[in-house]
Amino acid sequence: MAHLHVNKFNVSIMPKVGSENAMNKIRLLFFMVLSVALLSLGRVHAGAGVKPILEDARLTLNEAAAKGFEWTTTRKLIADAEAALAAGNKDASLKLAKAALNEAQKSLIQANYAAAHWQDGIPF
Amino acid sequence: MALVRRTMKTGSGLILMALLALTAMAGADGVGQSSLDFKAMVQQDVHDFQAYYKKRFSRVEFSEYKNGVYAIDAASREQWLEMEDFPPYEFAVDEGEALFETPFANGKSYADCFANGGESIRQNYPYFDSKQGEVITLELAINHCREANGEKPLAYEKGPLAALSAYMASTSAGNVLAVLVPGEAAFQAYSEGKAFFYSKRGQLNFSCADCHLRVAGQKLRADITSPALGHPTGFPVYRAKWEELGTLHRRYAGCNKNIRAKPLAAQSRAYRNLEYFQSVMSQGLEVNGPSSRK
Repeated sequence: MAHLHVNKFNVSIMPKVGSENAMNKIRLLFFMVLSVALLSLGRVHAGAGVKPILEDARLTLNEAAAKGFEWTTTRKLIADAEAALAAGNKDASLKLAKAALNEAQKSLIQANYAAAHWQDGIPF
Repeated sequence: MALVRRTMKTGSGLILMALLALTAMAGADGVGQSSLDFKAMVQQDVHDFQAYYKKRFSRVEFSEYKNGVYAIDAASREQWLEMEDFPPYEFAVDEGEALFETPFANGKSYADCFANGGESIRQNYPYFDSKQGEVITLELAINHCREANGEKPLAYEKGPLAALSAYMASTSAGNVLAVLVPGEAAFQAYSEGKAFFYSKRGQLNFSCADCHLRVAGQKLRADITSPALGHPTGFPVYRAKWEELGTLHRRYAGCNKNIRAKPLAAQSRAYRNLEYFQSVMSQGLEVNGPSSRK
């Protein structure tokens, strides 16, 4: 009975196992293609994201500069990010743009803090 | 209005009006009081500022602060005194004198622009010009003079303008700084200069006060920081680093660069107000410019 039972299943299972192998191969291929596509998309997005970050950095820096608190290092970071982008080095460009934005934001925070708290520096 | 008219017709209304008039008079006195108050605040600032150094460097005579770091560091002072045997700024003073005495194309000269023919007046600069509503430094006044006589302005940080300023300062040697804060608008400019002095800036997050007040006399890398008291008296200065004469605003720019803050333009409003504040704090010290520094 048990054999019959197994045979009974063999009829229906064997073709199913074969199709599952095929499906696994298809799934593997699909995920490989998807991974490559996602990685490529990520790189494209990184390149596309540099310009808005740079624009933000420029605007923030100009705001800090108008208050007299520009740092000497920030415009160079922006220029370097632009140069890297122009040279096609998108990863380096993104890294520099983020650093520029970070500095610009900090210089603006410094300006606003100084406006409100400069008296704290008086030691008497 | 009807209420006012009704009130005026009654005796109590008259009393009320009298009270209002008294209040208004008291208010007028209050304005006078406030103008006295900011003068008192400036004097309090001067007192506190100078007292801070007196306490910190108790052995240093007040009159010595005109010599910058050489007032507080014996080793540097010795080298400086040796350098002063052959003052490196002498040629610039001679050049400044020659420029000062050269008439403009219209036949007028610098002497026509300044009180006392431009001699012995350095101690009155910078001053607050109420009409223009801004601080006028000696260097700015020199260029105003040039422009009023149809000449092009000179660059502010070094060169002929520094030489002219050095010559004019040399004619004022020994005169005591007499920079005042005469009115409310002047007090505003003074306050802006004060805020600049105490504000941290640059990537290193330092203020003028951090280096030249809080840690004055201590080493920052290889250099001993000078006291802020007396900073303006000796300018323009010949700096060994520059190998030439430079103005106070050139030095401000250098300081700002050191802390990675983008320097402002020489003779910008902010730097002029800073010079104004520093000069007020240094009142009572003698003019001894030009001088030499490391």
